Amino acid sequence: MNPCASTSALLKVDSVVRRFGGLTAVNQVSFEVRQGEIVGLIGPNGAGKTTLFNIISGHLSANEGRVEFDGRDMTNRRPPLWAKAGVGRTFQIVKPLKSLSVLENAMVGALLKNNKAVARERAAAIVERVGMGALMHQPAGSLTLESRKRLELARALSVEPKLLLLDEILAGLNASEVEESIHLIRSLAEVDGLAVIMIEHNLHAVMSLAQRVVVLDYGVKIAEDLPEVVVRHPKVVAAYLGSDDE
Amino acid sequence: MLAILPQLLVSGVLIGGVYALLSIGLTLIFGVLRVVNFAQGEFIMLAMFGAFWANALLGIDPYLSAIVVVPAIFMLGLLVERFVIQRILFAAHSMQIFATFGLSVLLQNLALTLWGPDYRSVTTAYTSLSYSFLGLSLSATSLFAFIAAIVMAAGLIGFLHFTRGGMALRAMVQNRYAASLMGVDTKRLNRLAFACGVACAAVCGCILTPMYYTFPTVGVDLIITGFVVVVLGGMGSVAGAVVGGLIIGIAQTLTGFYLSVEFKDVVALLLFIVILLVRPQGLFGRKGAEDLGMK
Amino acid sequence: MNDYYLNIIVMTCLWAALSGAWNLMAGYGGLVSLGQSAFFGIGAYATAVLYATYGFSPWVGLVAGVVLTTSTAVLISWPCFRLRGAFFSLATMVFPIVTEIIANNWTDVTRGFTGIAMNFKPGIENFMFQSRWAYVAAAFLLMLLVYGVTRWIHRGRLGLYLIAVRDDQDAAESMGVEPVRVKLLITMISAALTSLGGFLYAQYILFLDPPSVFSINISVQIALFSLIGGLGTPLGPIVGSLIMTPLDGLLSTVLGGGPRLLIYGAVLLGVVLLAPQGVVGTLQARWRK
Repeated sequence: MNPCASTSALLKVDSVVRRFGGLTAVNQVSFEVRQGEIVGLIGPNGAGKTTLFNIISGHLSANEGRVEFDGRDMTNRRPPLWAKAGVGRTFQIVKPLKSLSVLENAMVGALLKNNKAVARERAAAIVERVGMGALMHQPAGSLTLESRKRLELARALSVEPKLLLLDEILAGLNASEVEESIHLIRSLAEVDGLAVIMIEHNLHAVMSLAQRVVVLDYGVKIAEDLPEVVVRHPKVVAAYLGSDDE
Repeated sequence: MLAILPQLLVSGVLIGGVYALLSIGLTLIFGVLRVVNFAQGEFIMLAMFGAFWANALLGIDPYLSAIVVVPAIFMLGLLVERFVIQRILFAAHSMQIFATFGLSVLLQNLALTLWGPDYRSVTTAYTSLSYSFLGLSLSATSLFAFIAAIVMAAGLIGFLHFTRGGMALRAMVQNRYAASLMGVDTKRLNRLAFACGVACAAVCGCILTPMYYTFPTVGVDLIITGFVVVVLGGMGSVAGAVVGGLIIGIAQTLTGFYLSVEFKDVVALLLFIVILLVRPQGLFGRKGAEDLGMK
Repeated sequence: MNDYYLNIIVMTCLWAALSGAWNLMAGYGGLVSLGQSAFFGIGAYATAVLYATYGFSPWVGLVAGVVLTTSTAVLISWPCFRLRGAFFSLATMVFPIVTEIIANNWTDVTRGFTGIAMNFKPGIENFMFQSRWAYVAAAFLLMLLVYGVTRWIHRGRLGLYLIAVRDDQDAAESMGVEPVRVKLLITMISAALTSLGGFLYAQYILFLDPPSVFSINISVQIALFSLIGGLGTPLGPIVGSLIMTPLDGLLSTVLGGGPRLLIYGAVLLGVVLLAPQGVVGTLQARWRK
């Protein structure tokens, strides 16, 4: 446990449990995230990472445990309240609003805290920031996967969040696209002071960006430490590769 | 008051069979194609007219005319699926609704234009016949309808569970995409399922002809009950359609006697709202079934 | 200009308004209501009953109608919203049937099957006029009101929220949109505007009975006009009504009930299969290229 935790934490996940019938997808997971921190969330497929995200953004309820955000108990609140509180998330399977243009996609989120005129400006700025300025008025339904991923990010940013939940935002991108995204995410944390939790399989990205990595396996947190330490942790290696004992 | 209860229950069960008959086709179509066929009542109506004209012009008994009417409607179903349904399967839901709804309006008014609004009826030797059993009176036409419903339901369930085609259909109901990956020819089966669904409606129509009036908008009256039964039983479940039909039939006969005749009409609608509120997937439907078409 | 043509103009504007109100729910909200005639009938009966049975000025009836329809909309919609797509539409079909049964049976208030006739006493306080031109103006204003509301919603906050919910409810929620709230809002607006149409109808025709105002055919027509003109566009319902209402007058006199609706059904089917964007939608798509 990090000794600098407690009152300064933006997000506090405390002993959260989530079951689906007989399967315990998230099992007593606890961790904290502070402002400006980038935390990696890794683990083999099916470890419960996205389920955890869904709990933190309100899309799923927790059977047990508590989630506190910005000092308020937000356990089991619905997604719109999470957005209003300042959490923006991307979805692993991208969800562009196909009938709307790129700009309008971002405006939907921007309208949460602004009137229409201001929302339009802010949305445009965000679209530029993620590098999609040229596609501003393109219908979202006609975008490539890479652009749709950026759009996910733009939409998450449009609600003016304090915490960003990125669910495999780098999956499917080529090497240069990944590098660009890494720069962008880093600047969001350093310049804008956003906290970021990223679910990622791309270990290179996690190593470059994250100050801390949390590892899940079968719903249990098996490690939490600096990236370099975590990747050598025997339990983590065993989780990904299988141990010699099996 | 209570002495008449057994008779009411029996009448209710028999009428329930008729409702089940109506609904089986509807639930099959929704289960496989994920489309609510707003025009189902009109296929029943067309079959009724078919049976009526066969009787009026050729003197053929309505039940017998099913031999010709049902295959004819089946073919019509194939055509409709090919030219209408297939094209809107992946369209926006509003378009799907308009398509079958438009079809319904078209067919109703086609009948109205061709045959006029008059109520027709077919009287056969057994129209007013009733059997006596254990001191209870069973109307012959209702009894036949009930038997037909059970036979049809049993046949369909047997087909769905014991034949390859049926299992393919069940696979499609559960997970259409996975089924197609496993080599199920979804396009062909869609057509088959739709045609079978409307053929069921045709059987229902022929059975109903001796016991009901035949007129162009009869489908509208019937289909509301049909929808209620299907929602109660669970969209996509044949067994559900049967059970749902029986429940509605009994509920109607009981309220019609113990409360009032007007209430009889309303009871189905009230049940509809209640089910939608309390358990939208119906008795046998899977949770989220009402959403299944949406994703 | 003789009465026949003025009548067509009044009806064209009225249908454009009614269709426009439905367009808000179906075109923007994705809520395909097949029960709009319930709101229409309630609006009409509210004013007729209050005037003919209780002697209130129709202006009171106007307000009563709006209040009644919006509150009923809230009551009915809330449970129905958890149903999506065709199930929602199915549920909406029930509503006019129920209201028609009530209208037929609550004879003390509604005069049942026989219907209500409103005594013609011209004057602004009764919203009844000698000159047909006044009705033309009223209908035109209503149409403009509906158009104005639609434009304001179109691409405004409510419009964007509705489209977002329709496209992907999960994504919309993650951006702070509350689906139930926006759907409820659009339903209430639609119900209120439809009730105004019912009010105008009652004041114009001065007679109503349950079948004439609660009929499913009204719901069909309303939907058809928006579809033909262009679902989800502010001008669509107006264009649709402009094309169809005069045509409809012709069809009614030449062909009569059955064939007229037969053509409606065929047109509905045709539009869905061949030109789902409607006139305005197709033109807009061409223009973009």
